[in-house]
Amino acid sequence: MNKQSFLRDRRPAWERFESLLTRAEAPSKPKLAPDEVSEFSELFRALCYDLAQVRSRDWGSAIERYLNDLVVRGHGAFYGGKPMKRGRVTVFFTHVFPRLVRQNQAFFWVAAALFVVPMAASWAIVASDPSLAHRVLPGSVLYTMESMYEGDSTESTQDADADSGFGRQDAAMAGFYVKHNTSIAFQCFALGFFLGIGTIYVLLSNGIQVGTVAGYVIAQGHGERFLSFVVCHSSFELTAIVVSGTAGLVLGHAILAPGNLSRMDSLRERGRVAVQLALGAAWMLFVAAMIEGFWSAQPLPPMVKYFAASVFWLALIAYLGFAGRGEDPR
Amino acid sequence: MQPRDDRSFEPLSNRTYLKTPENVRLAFRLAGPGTRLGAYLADFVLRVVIFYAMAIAASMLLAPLTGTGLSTGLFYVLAFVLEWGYGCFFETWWNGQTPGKRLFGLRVIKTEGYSIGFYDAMLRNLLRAADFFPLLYAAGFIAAASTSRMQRIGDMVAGTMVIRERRPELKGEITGLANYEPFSMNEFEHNYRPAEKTLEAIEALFRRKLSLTPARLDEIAMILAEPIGRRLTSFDQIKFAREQPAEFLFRVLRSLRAGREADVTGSSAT
Repeated sequence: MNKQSFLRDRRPAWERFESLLTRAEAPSKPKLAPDEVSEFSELFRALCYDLAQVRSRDWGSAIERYLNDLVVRGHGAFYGGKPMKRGRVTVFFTHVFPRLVRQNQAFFWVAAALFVVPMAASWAIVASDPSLAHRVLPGSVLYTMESMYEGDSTESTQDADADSGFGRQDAAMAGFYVKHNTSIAFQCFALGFFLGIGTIYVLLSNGIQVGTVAGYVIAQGHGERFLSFVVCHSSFELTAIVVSGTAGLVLGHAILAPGNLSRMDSLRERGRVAVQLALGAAWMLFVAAMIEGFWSAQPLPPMVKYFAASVFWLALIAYLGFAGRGEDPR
Repeated sequence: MQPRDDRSFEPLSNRTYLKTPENVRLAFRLAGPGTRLGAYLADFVLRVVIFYAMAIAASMLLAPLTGTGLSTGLFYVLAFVLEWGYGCFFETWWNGQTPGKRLFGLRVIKTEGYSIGFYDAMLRNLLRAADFFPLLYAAGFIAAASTSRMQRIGDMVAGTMVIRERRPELKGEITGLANYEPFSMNEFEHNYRPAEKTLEAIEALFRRKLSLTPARLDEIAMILAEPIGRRLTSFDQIKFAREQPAEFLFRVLRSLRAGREADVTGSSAT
């Protein structure tokens, strides 16, 4: 057999394989029929043999490249990942995510401590000496924070803005919180790659900032307005930051303590867990932003807010603590 | 986990190899920092354009209908999705390509050689924040420079690599070869025929003929003309091969390739 007769004999098989391959690669629904799948597999093996033969006989790089590329595509189609099932998206939120949080609860509690302890400390310190707040945050930020919660001006500005039905600033603020907070959460996750140090830094600094603002605003005498505003959405918001911290710590731990795997393999394995935690944190922050924009800003008596807050907190604890136990729905 | 490959030590190579279960070694061409930067900039420009289009749409079209509150809120959410979701979205639905990667012929694939999924795309794009650290993708560059598959941090964690896909190279016929007088194979030692790879090397040189100075062309041609020329039988021809190596090589090519270039694969490599 020489090169010419080889090409003449084998070319129809390659073309047939390519046409099956193009259909297998297409995102459209009906892919290959059962007998076509076995034909595909047979042709693929034959193709691999052809490539090996072309290489061993040194029949030129043009044909080798052509076959190599065909095998590459075939390999991708043959061994590629499972197709995504539509129901997986809801199952992720109802089962997979809360389960992952529980599976990684050691990291969760460490992240929570890294966030809550500095928050409580700076809260207590700033409450006893508000001038210290200026060491943490610039004066302009503190001024904005203070004016947000002082007096009863919010209601009147809202009325002025509410000329058209949805014209209030609630939606704008909700959108801003989605963007701002979720960006922090994703950074908190990604910087975990640096042995978890980046994550620890983000958790500590955000804890200190949140505690400082709380301590400062309350010390200025706006305690009730502030607490009744933040108490509802803080359930999802603060917990989401802790969850993103969990994701970052999982990633950092994968490098620090890879166990029996190589560090690269350990990263790949734990990274899959971490990214799902980060995704869940993003979804929690979205919920928090909706609560903040559309509920926390409502001018309602503080008692109503406190009652709602206990509902939100209980719902969150029930979600992370109990959702997804038992069997997966099909 | 990690596929074991039989990669030989090639410190400066941009290729990576993968052994399939069929015991075939596949070759992938990795994308270097230059093309990846190009694709990144193209995507960046597109993102800026989308960002301003959204800003204009939100402020001029949506705001009069819904009030500034809702349109601004929606704008923030979409800006967030654009910032963090752009790469993830395109790499999931376009099978490892963003518009910029498509423009530069790049594709993200798993290191096992098959296409990436949603979590892979999400991992490698969220971890951009780590790659960017401390500024201008310094960490990502160091990571890519020190891994054999040129993986930035996001690629390492997602188990992906960025490859250069071959564009359909329509090399087709080479023209102008007919001007060279062919040798008869009798002028060579008994049964001598250069290897296919050698002929391809000559062909590649022939294609570059016009972009090289004659002196440089001869200098390069000498590398092959010397050993091929030694297989000639006539002393005059050996002398000719020494003195005009480029001319000699093209005549060799002509003698072996004449009328045979209608190869099946020449132009169909996709």
